[in-house]
Amino acid sequence: MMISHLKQIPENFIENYTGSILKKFVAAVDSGRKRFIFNGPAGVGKSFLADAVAGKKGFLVEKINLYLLENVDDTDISDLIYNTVYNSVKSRSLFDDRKKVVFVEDIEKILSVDPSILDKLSGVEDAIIIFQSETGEIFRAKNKRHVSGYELIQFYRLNETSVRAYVIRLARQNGLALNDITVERIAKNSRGNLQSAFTDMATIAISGSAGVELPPRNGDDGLFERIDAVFSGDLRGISTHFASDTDAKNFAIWLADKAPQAYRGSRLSQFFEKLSLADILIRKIKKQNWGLMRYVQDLLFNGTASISGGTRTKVTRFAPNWELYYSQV
Amino acid sequence: MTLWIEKYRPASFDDIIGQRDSIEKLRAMVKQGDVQHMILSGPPGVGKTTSAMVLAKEIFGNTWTQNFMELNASDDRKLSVIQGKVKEFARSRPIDAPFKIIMFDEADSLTQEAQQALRRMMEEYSATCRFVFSVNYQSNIIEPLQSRCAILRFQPLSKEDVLSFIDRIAGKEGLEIDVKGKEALEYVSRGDLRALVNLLQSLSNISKKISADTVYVNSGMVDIGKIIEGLKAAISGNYLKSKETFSSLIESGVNMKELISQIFNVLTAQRDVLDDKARGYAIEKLAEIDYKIVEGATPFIQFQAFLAFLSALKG
Repeated sequence: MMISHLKQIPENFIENYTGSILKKFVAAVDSGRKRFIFNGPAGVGKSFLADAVAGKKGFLVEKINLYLLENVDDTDISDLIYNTVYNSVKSRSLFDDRKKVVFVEDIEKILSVDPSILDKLSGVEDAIIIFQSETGEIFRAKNKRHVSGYELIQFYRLNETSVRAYVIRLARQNGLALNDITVERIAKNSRGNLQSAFTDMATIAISGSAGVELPPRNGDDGLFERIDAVFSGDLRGISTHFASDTDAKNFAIWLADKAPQAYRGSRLSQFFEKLSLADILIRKIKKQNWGLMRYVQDLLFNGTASISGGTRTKVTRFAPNWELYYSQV
Repeated sequence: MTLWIEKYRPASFDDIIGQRDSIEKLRAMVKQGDVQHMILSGPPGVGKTTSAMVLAKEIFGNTWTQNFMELNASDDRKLSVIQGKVKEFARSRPIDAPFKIIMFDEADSLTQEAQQALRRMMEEYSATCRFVFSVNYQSNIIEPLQSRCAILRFQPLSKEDVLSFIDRIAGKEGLEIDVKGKEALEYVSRGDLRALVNLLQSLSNISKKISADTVYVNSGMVDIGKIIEGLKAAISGNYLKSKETFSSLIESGVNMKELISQIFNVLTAQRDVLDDKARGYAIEKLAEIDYKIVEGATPFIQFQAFLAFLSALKG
């Protein structure tokens, strides 16, 4: 029995514009830079790039996940994090004298505990340290000064052409025969996430049948599909579940911001009627009145969609001006 | 006395009702002897946990209990506890098998932090362990975990499936259930077979004859037929008749909150009661009165306002 069908090779690293991310990183490493932040959504190749470059240059990669640390009794979690990273940077194996790359999976944890850890670590010599970041936290004003000493490498969601190229290459290396339609399905279903494409290929490798369904993974990136579906009046295949009241509130704000692109006149007025009711219900949900969530879901999805004239609508992707919506009376 | 949910828990893939696509994938995994990390997503009582157990039995045979571990929400979900259990289980070598399976039941309730930590654990132990998460809502799982897992969707069971399942149990247990009683059971269980089997067992303790009335009374649910009747009266403009119907329901001890929640279910599920546009207005009004009740208004006054609104819709 085999453990896993597919083998991943570091050389498969792929990006939308060949060479831009890889070159920038290699040049920085060559010029002696040792502190990096890889920022970008999940599954676009951040830890992949670290492996790829380390493999080429003969470095040893050590990955750390700070969420695995828990402060037992009196130890200070801030010290614990610092010491964990510090020890990983300083420790050397007797049998392996390769240069080390320490890859810390979650800068968000540090930022939430104590951002000044980053300042302290910037002075520690020896190894290369890469912090992975999957949210916009590092760009917030209060964190900015702590990350200024770090070289920022920005990753983007991969386009379908890139994912397709990756899938075809991986299939060839593993002797997996995929027809064009299957490649297309994997690329579409990945939504720019290489890890998803990899997993879906493994599924097909195991189940062997191209007819097997690949259910979508719905992360935050379903946002625009949801908005477009609501304004087009077609909710088929769209998840209408909110994980929290904040989730619902943010969606309501997106709808408010984009509604003028879809509705005019009396439709717009009807829309805001529903939205304003949904809005006050969301305020009341908090911790106790979860029963109100069902109305919020119905108003924001079915309610708003029922106003639509049924014409396909696509709204712009610019984020709303959040400060306007969150400013206090 | 044996619990019926254990007695009627499927023992093989063939016994699992519905879920053709997901079962097909699981069978393929058994055939290849290779299991991926997985997310089993779907409503409660449609066979997620059962499928995972069947998978373990088929793939590990007699040693399945040693190679399969289930952590559910009632276990401590503190990170250190999860970590300890996973480590202990994953470190020892699998017995007569290439890997072990760890199943997280109700993984929706895992905190974001725990999920972030699991992401590393999954990689660390991928040589010896497969992780299976069962969830009601896939969107509660963070993207890095989703992308590492094959997604298996479990659909709510169709009415026919549930009805034939009722027949199967009724036959084996010698229960007498009329057509209305079956429909009531199907409605009350909402495709959740676990709830259905539990309800059937408790009903059978009272009497082997099961009617719609006993189903509604014992499930703590409002009589759905009455609700539809009352709503239809209001929609046709007959406010007084609908008030009468609902008054009798409330007098018989139905909780106001439960009644409103059932009306919501009827409006969203029974598409023949109102057309799309009118339903939109009706739900808006329902949300409004529910909100006012939360704010401290008198429930029955608010409820009558809703009925009056429905009666006026037609004009």
